[in-house]
Amino acid sequence: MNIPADDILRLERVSVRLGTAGGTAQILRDVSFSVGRGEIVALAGESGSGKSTALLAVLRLLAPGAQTSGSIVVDGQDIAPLRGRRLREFRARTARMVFQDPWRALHPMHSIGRQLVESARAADPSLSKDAARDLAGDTLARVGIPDPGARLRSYPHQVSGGQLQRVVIAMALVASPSLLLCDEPTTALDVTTQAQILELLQELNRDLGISIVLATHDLDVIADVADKLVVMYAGAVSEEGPTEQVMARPEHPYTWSLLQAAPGRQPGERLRAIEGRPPSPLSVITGCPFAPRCEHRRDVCETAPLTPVPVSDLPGRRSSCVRVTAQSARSTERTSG
Amino acid sequence: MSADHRDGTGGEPVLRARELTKHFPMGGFGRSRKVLRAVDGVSLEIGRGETLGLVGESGSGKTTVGRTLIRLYRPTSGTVEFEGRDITTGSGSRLRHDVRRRMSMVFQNPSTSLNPYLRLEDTLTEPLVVHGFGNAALRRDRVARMLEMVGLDISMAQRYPQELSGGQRQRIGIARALITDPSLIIADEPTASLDVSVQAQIVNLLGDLQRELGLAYLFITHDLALVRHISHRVAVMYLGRLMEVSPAESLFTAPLHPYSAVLASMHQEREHRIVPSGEIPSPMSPPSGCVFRTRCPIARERCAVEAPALREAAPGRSVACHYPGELELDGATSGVRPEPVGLTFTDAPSASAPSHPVSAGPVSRTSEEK
Repeated sequence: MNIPADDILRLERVSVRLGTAGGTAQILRDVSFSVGRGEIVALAGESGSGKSTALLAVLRLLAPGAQTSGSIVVDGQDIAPLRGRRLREFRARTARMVFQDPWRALHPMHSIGRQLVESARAADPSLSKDAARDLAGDTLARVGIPDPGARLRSYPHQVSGGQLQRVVIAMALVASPSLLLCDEPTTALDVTTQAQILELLQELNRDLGISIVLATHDLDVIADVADKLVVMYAGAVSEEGPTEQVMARPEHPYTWSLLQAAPGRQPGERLRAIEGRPPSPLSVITGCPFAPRCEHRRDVCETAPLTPVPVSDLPGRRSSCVRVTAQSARSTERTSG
Repeated sequence: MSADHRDGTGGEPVLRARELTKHFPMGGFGRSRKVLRAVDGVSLEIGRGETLGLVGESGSGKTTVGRTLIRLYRPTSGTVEFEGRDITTGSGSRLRHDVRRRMSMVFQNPSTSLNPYLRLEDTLTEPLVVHGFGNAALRRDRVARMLEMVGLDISMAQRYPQELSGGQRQRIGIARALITDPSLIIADEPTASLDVSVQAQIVNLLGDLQRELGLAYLFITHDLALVRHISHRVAVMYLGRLMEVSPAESLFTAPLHPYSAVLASMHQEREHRIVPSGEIPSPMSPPSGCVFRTRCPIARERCAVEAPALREAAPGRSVACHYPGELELDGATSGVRPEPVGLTFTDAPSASAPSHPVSAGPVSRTSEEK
């Protein structure tokens, strides 16, 4: 659907392996997805699904020793060859990250102003200290912090969690990045604060045209924020498509089970739990990684490819379930052959 | 937890707290002495076999209520009655006898609430030893029964906590709570550290155990969808006080307190959400009058002067607000997420008909390791 030139972020068959004491862990398996300019895309999945790793891979922040294959293109630039100064510039200007826990994302001994100024001047070294401080104040006001002048002099422990997450977002915004990566930005916050932060992100997306990738485990959180939903399981993409469509009509048994497992439909009734648990990243997976827990598995699932393919008749939808996509897979085979 | 169960059971409540207050001194002397009012005049009852959900934001005092009820804390004032006995001030063997055996706790993080140096068998046996239950053989039998009850294999008894997954550890946490045959379990965010699919397993397990053993739960959580699912009644806390206590369904469809309305609206469509301004004030210096007034969309002068008491507003419902029911939900939906359309498999013979997967059977309590 997306014209490649319009994508701010594009992952193409990205795999990440990490050597551990227990063997080689396969953390991402052939992950491909794209984020259009001005789009909000959600990566949804349980812990261990690889959603955070995907974000870290985009910033080249993976642990030393991680082997990455495939290509990641941000704003038309392949990030794999970036080194030294150019890598720092890329991290400071182009793509910024908002972490889950605002208390750990800020330096506890430095004032908020000092951290914002540092962030702004990292992105634009030509900025004078005073100009950076003005920019920091304006940005704090932009993210809805009352009395920004006073807040610049505060230290992180003097500020509440919701306000602090706004500060962290401001710290990313002073660099005016084209891509904002948010790793569970609301998980550590209360439900009312959660709503406020999501509203802020959406506002920034609308007003500044900033593209956002949200990693989350909570489908309710992203239901009405994200334009596109990418569901991940065991390091691979299960399915993707416009959020509303995926939530209303999943095309992968994992998404379906996940929606069914969350409380919220029939109070008092048994939840439809997914038996078993996700495979260990150390295990070798052949075929569909969800197959051992899937109620619909057939022999064909044992040899199914990992990569999602388009679902026939549904533009923008891709699913990795061979039983859902069997038809379209066959037809693509025919056309390409 | 079945539908017929949801109105709660009548009769004598298993636990009754009256005007429970817990203040923590926060340093300072004389006039500058600071006090954190974590819990301020909370009165509630939990019926036998009932689940009372306790919701609130962080800092609302919900965890302190749980810990004070089970007497991990001594209340500053107020009384707690459990199974007909006043347990407000007991200590030592008296406390062990009256409270510890019949009321137990399931903690939020099963990874930090289990002793990493003890085999699970020893973790589970310890409460039995403390309460002088039977001899070694009887205790071993009891441990085996508990493991079976929470859906774990008996071989797990010889393992250490770090060998288990998060869901399995929480099953051990539940088994430990159950082993002394309690009538009330205080569960403080028992599923908050678990993934959705595993959370569902634990929630189902808690429901099965309640039906089987007639347990009462105080279910402390910040997860509104979960509390709605699991509770017969829900108590809403804000800044150390109870705002509303209502049956779960009515709380979420027709809330009486503005704060309940705010919470209930979070599961509505975006445009119907009532997002309060600002943040929860510090419990060191709560606002005058009604504690919610600084964020309340319908606050008036009276709210700053006069603190509303929790009083019965409708049968089975109490609310602490001068203007109950005034802030209404404007969403047409009841906040219940619509059912997703079932999957269609192109390789199946009946490809056109959407097939609904069969649910996981009546009572399957299989462990995660199948």
